[in-house]
Amino acid sequence: MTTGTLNTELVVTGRPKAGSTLKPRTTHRRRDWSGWIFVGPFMAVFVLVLIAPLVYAIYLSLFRETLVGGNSFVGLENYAQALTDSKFWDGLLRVTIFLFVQVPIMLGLSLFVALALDSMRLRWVSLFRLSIFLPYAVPGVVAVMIWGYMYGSQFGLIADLNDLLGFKLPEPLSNSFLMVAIGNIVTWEFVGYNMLIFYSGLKAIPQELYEAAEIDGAGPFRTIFSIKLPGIRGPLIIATLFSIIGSFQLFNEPQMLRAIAPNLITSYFTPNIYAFNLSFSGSMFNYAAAIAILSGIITMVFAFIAQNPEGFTFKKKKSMSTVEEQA
Amino acid sequence: MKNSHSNWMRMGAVLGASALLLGTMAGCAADSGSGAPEDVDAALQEETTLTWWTWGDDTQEMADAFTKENPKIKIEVVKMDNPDAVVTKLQNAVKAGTGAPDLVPAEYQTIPQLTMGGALADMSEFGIDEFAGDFTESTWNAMNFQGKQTGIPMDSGPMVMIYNQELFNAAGITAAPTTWDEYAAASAAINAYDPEAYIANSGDAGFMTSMFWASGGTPFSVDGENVTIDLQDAGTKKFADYWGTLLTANQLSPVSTWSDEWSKALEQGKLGSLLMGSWMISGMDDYSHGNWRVAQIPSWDGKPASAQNGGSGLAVTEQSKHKAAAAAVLEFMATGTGRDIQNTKGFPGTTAIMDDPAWLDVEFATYDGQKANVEGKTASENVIDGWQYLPFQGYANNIFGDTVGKVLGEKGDINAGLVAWQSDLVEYGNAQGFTVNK
Repeated sequence: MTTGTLNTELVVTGRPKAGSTLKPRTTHRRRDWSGWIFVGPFMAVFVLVLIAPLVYAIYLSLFRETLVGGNSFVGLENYAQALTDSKFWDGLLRVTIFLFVQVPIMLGLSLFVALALDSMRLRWVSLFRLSIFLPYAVPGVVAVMIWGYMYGSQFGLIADLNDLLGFKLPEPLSNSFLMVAIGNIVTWEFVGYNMLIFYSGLKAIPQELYEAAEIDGAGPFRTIFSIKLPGIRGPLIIATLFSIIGSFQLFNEPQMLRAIAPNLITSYFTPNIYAFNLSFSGSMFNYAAAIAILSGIITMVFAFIAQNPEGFTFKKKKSMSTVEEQA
Repeated sequence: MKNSHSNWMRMGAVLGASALLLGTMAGCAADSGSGAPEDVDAALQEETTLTWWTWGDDTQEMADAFTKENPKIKIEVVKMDNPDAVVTKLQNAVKAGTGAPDLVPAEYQTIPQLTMGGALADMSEFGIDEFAGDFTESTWNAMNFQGKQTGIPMDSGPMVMIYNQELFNAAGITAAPTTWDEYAAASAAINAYDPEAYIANSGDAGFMTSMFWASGGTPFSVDGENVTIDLQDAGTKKFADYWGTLLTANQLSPVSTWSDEWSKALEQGKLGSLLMGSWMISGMDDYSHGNWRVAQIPSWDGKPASAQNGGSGLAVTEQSKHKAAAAAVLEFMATGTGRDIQNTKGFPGTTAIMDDPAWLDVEFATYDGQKANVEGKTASENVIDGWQYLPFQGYANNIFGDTVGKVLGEKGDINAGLVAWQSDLVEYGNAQGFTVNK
């Protein structure tokens, strides 16, 4: 999850710089290249850490190097193979289901907490805010170790609870509950992070709107649905976007749990785990590159849909203009 | 319009993020030099810094001892998490054409893979073959792949059974089981005595392959680029059938080896026996209060029959620019002071020590004074000949969980799992350019 969000953050901060400086310069009057001096450092880093690896991965994906026989150019064969690879689709289906189940729960919880903190009915708001955010500060690997211990049904916390209760709780690390167990860890880690995004969005809503609502006689729920939620539309989209990318890049949690439950988590559990095992254990760097590019494209498609939810209805033109206005 | 622009940027980001995963690779050939035994002495007179990767805690001590004897050679020890981390990093360095250390430890099962992949150098030309007689045959051969002697053995892992005598006695078993039938009877007795206690856990890839070996199976055979995989050969199937009866009778613990739960199970007397390499003899201090014992692993007919399980050697990389100096370290670790240090740390792979009364008579408090090294020696003498690992064993073990591990978890049919594993391995081997089962 972490890698996904980090990389996207890079782009979000970078976007306005590149977008707004480039456009006017190239289309108006005489060419003035001085803008490049300002965006230069950013572009250099951007090319080095984002474009270059990407181009290199695409280049790699067009070859096939084997343990015996060496390297050869194979064109799009790796992609053709990946498209019919049931292991790849198995992993992809798993993260897609995870996306549709875990992300709404996580964002719903985050939203609820953010609204609660913003409701002015709580005391010690900053204490709550900090403690809910705290899990995000715990490194993902450590988080999985903590939860891995608690999930232990033989000698872990679940085992102790079973003894205490006198009956058996379901085993988190079993076929039926594994995804729930992983979803729980991810939710625990990222509720605070998303809550903070929502909360800061709520804080940015102009006070006059609330005053106007009060004068109009709006109750708390009416205020939420008519002012707060529309007011944080941007943060909602951003958080959804991060979560979609995070879901498709699911890696840390299942990879760490693989040490505890090696018989449950396959080497192709998620597309990222598949690419990791193919390249670093199976020396299939080329095929892994193709898998990574393909899952990148699929992530992009989902991210695009989430970002323009109305873009796929008849109101396309109208909603595009609203987006422009807000931006 | 502004939107579509930013979408392209984002596309770059999403793809870039995926690509970062693969960002460390580049291909180019490594240097290779040739040498001779005379070069080794000459190399010791030159100021050199060697890099030595390790996963063990004792390497620094060995490196310091070497530098004390050879002041011009400095050794930089780089500690990594575990053997897998070393293999991964080494393979990346080979791929990148640079970045490999001079000295690298390697588990015996990864020697074919690393040698074939061009990671390890053939050190025969520096005269290391003269140490062959100092090591047990199975360990020395394990460092050789298709005529290339990549280095020297460090420790070895002839399989023994380490068992919780207290638990066995409480369950009414007075003698250590010597046949698999007796072991099954002990399993049932332990499980009946304490439903939460098991004689063993269901095991991982390293365990399974060693058990096939000890059972007389030879599922893998390699001849050049021709590989034959038969995970249903007589010895393999015999053990798989046997282990399957314990599995489906719910007599194998689901905990995963080396996990926290596994440690707790050992401490609390919920796991009755370990079938492991003899290096584990010195690794039981945390789990035993004198209640454990060491014995031979059971066999089909009661006569000792063992296999190697784990164990590793020290090799020199193809990329090393100081192979002669590295050869001096190999010699130091084979017959010099380094060997003395090594032999006090793990279970040795050298022959001389196995006749040394001082070593044989060591009484282990962990085993209530038992002279446990004697059992290790017996196992070492009874390792079955003829076993081979795949030239891609590391990957094979990594995907073991997809098929065999899955049926172990579901308490299903182990043979079905083995057939599925075989089909994955055949497909992978052929895709990698080997000729597998053709």
